[in-house]
Amino acid sequence: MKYKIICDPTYSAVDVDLDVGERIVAESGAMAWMTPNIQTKTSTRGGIMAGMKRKLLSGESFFQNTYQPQNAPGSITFAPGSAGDIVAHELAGGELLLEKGAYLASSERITCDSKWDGLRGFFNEGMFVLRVTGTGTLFFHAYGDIHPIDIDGEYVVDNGFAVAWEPTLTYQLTRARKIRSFLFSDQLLLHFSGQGRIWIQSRSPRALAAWVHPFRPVESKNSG
Amino acid sequence: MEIEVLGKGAFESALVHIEPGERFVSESGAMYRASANVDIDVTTKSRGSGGLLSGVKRLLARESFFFSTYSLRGGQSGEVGLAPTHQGEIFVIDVDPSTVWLCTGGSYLGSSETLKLDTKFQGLKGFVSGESLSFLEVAGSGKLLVNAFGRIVETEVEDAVTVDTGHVVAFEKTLQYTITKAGDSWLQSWLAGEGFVMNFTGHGRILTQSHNPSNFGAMLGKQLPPRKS
Amino acid sequence: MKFDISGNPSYGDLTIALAAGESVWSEGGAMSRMSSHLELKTKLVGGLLKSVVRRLVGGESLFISEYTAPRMAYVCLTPACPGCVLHREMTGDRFFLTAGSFLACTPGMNLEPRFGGLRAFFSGEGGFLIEVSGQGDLFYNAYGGVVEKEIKGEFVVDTGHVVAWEPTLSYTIGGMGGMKQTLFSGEGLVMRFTGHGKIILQTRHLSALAGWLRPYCM
Repeated sequence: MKYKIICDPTYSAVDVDLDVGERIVAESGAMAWMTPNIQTKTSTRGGIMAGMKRKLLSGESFFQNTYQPQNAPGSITFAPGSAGDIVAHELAGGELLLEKGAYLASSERITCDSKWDGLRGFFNEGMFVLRVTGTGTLFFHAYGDIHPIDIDGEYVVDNGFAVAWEPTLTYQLTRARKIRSFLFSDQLLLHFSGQGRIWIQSRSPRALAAWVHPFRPVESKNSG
Repeated sequence: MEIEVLGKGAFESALVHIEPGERFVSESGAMYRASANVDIDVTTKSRGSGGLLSGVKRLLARESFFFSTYSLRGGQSGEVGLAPTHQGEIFVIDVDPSTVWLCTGGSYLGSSETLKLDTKFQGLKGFVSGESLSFLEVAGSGKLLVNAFGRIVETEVEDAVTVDTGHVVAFEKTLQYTITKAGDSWLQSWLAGEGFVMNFTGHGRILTQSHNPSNFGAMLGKQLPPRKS
Repeated sequence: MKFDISGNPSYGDLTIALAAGESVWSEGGAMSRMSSHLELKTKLVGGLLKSVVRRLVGGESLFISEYTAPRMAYVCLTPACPGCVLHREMTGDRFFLTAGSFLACTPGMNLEPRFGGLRAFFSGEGGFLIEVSGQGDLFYNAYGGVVEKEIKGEFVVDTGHVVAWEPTLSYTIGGMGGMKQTLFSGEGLVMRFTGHGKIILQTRHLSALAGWLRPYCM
């Protein structure tokens, strides 16, 4: 499998060339264009329960697609929904924790498990994390630039900006301190400690969702 | 205090390096990363104009009610990273007592604590259009951080310039302006999708953004599921 | 008329310099800044009924803003979605644009809205294409990065990623595979192009952005 990240860093997409017998797995909806001999298989990857767990808890789509060229080599290009960067991360039997919505594609021998990381006691929605293991290439994307930060000690990151991190880091959820008004909607922060790398994005999907809220059509009260 | 602009592509953010004793202000919630020794103080006041009323004015203008002030605990230096909502560039304006700047609510990212912030309303004209035509007036000495949806273009006004309101980031108070509809008539404007424009005359600088968040929001909003309120 | 495109590939915009008496046609709402003395008139292209239907259905309005300069003036135009602004010189040939891609053109060019068929309607693009023909300068936009591909044979593209194509290509619109594939694959509709010609592709589209953003919305 050969790949090339194109149109980076603002509107990155990834071109993947596959030989006969090679396969790649991707988030449904990520396929942008491809040669006509690529066959698409829709599956729940790991059975119904694993698929459902992924959808309910991690917000990932129910189905991931597997792409394989027929009879001759083929090419396929994947593009994420948000503007931003793509990182191709090589895993060699290790582990990476990845925020939901950041997963784009992965080579065959990579497995994604959902892990519910609830915000016990907080009223905001939890942060959904995929635990990625295996050997091969993982493609993840972000809303914005992706900055890797090598932590040795402590660092604070807003909840909406953490994309991926190494399991050697531990984290705690805290609220912004010294809040003096009841009207303030809490800023949730992740307090990381230990030694390891974290990838952060420079924009927040939740901030964009909050901003676009008034532009959405209003649900009509007469709908049955 | 030093402001470092981060970003390799089209997404810029500000990393503000502060020393013990220094403080920096931003719209609440703009902080996305920080060294562990940063304290955040959230208030409804801004220096010089205060209290609940100015906060309410800001709320009516659909802007964030609150400002956050960042300072350091302990004796070490620290950093605060501020991120805008939209993709685009950021710009550092050096404000000195000889100029007063007006910036749109959505464009304000952060500022030195020494700057005085006050809200200015456009009154009825603003409400009728549905646009939030309110500005933050920034005066004093210090750095003002603004963000854009897209690229920032700086224009020195000589001849008269007309700017669509959705593209205004900030301008100097020395300029005069009127607010009108772009088209000949209301119907024409609705059909053509034209909005309100600001017609600037006089002398001064204007910062505009290449893209219009309202146009983008309208197109994106249509594709999202309906909301309950 | 002189033009300048700056800001590609992230935030492309188009600046048109007009001499006295010259005009330019632009998509409504695209003006960011201009000389204050420019005159603005709204024109209907494609007939009143088609245009009203399109506007109500939420498609791109083919109400064109016509800017005329009584004396030398400039106007700066941007698309709603950030990305690349592209230019094509039309020399009496034809060119197809997807809805939302049109930005501006020399007045008098032929802009014919065409219904892409029922399937195109469900592709999320409103079902309309624009057939451009005539002489002059055409400016159109891509949301995101632009990739140009020379097709010789067959190629498959998710409909949202298509910006424009040459009329020497023919296409069908359909699902990815069987019913299950179409419903559950999460893929939108695809266009299968055949023939020889150029297609212009974009690396982002609005319904993909909406799909990605949905889980974060309340």
